[in-house]
Amino acid sequence: MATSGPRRPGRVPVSFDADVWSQEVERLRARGPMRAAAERAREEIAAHGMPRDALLACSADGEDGTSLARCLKVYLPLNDRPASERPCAFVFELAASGDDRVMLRLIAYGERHPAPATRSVYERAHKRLHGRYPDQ
Amino acid sequence: MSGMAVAAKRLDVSVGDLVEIDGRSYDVVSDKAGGVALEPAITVFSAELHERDGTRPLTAEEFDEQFGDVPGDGEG
Repeated sequence: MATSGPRRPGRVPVSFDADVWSQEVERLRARGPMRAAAERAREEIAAHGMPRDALLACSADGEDGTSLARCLKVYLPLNDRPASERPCAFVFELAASGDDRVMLRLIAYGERHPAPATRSVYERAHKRLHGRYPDQ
Repeated sequence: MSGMAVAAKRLDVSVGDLVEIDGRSYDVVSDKAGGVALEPAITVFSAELHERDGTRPLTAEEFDEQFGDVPGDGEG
């Protein structure tokens, strides 16, 4: 388990599992904008940690049927632009290690509002948490 | 120009199945319009990640104490 980011006040360590990264990011076209945004964000998090104030809480009872209680998200690209100009998101689950240190673990990456037949990042996160899509 | 008949490959799959096409895995999912769609597969789940890494999910109390002040936007 590799965690990224210095342990600084206001920063939360992040774990990027290799299998999850493969299924969420490496599935995307190499050099495409979505994949590039995720790779850049991971590099930035590795270098500086995840700023706590960039995080948003996910919905425990989403309108799309998703249940992402105790999950956090960050919109990508990582910048100060309005959310409407950042079409993708990392969704993280919080995990505690044996000594109760808390980290974010990536569970999904994708579009927040994809075309209708494509699953959103929230639906993918729901499946990774619960083993099935909300409508299954 | 005359058209050529195309024979469809019949697939015996249903929503929830995992299929492999050209070396890549896909979940068969509903397209929410009465049909099906293929979604890049998710085959590693949270419980397995916790077991593999020796971690556990935060309890509701721990979450509220440490991250209860993180705002949401109601999107998902």
